[in-house]
Amino acid sequence: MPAPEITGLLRDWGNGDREALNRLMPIVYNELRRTARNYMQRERVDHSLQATALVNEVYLRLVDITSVQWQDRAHFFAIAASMMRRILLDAARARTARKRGGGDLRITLQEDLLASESQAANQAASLIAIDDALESLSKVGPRKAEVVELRFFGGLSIEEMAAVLGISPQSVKRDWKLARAWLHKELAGAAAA
Amino acid sequence: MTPQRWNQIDRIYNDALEKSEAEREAFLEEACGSDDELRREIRALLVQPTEGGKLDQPAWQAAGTLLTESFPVELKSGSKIGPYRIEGLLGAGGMGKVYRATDPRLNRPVAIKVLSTEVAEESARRRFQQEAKTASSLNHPHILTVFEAGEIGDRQYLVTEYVDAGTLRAWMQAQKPSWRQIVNLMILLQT
Repeated sequence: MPAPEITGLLRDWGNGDREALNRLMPIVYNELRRTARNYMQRERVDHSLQATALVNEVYLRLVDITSVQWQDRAHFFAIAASMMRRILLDAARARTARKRGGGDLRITLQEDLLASESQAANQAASLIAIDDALESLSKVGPRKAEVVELRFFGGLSIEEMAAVLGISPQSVKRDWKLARAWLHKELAGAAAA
Repeated sequence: MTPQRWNQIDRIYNDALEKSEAEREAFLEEACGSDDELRREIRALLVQPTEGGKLDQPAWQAAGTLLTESFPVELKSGSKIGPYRIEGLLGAGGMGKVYRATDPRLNRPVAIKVLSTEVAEESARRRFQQEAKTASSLNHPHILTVFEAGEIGDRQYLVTEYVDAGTLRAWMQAQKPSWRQIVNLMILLQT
C-alpha cells in the first residue's frame, strides 16, 4: 500500500474510524516483522542498536512524512508498539506450544545447543509472564500499562512517550517508575506462587 | 483495586521515592496513617529494582534469542566464509547453524558450524571456543576431525571434515534401533 494511503488511514483512525485501524494493523505487523528480520541479517541486534531504530525505520518506510502530522506519528508509534508486542508474544506462544506438544524427541550431544534452547525457552516464558502482568496492570492503571507497552515493546524514549500520550515527560517518568515496580512485584509473586 | 486506591498508591509511592532511605519509614507512617495494607503495598513496591530489571531493555533485545529463532537467518548457497564456499544448510540449533561447504583450495567438502552473532553473550562465545579447542585436540576415528577454528569479524566458525552419515535422529527413525544398538553406539562414542 502506498505511503499517502497509509498516512490517510492513520488520520482516519485518529478521527475515530475503527475500520482504519483494522486495515493498518496487518500492514504494520508485517512490515515490523520484515524489518526485524533484516536487522537480524545485518547482525545489528546488539546494544548499539538505537532503541527506537526499528520502529522508526518502519515508520519512515510506511508513512508519507511530507504530509504527516504530529498526531499521526503518535498514533503510528502506538500501533507499532502493540504490533511489536504481538509479534514477540506470537513467537513466545508458538515456542511454548511446540514444547508442550512433546513430539520432538531431541537427542543432541552438543551442550551449547541445549543451552541456547533453554535460553529461548526462558525468554518465551518471561515474555508471557510480563504480558500477563501487563494485562492485569491495564485493568488498574490503563495509562501506566500504555507507557509500558510503548517503552518495553516499542522502545520509545521518555520524550517520545510524552508526545504520543500527550502528557508531560515528568508524568511519563512517574508512570513508568510505578508501573515497573508494580510489574516486578507481580512477576516476583507469580514466580513464587 | 479501585481507581481511588490506585491513585493513592501512585501519589504516595512517587513521593516516597523522593525521600532519602532514612526518611522513608517516617514518611510512610505519616502518609498511610492507620492503613497498614496500604503501607505494606507501598513498601513492597519500594523494594523493587529501579534499574537493570527485566523491563529496562526493549523486549526485542531481552528476547533476542527467541526472536532470532523465529526468523531463521541463513547464509545463502554460494556465499563465502573465509576461503570456504557455502553449499547448503545441514542443520540448525538456537546457537548456530551447520553448513555443508567446499574448501576450494583442496576441493574437498567440509562442514562449517557458524556461531550465530545474535548469541552475544560472552559465556556462549567462550563455550564455542572451548568446544573448538577440545575437538581439535582429539584424534579419533569416531570423532570429526577439526580443520580450523576461526573468526571473521564477530562471526566465529568451526570447520570440520564432512561426513555424510545422516543425523542421529534420522538413524533412530530409519533403523528403529534396539536398545542394544543404542548402547553400543554410546560406548563407541566414549571410547
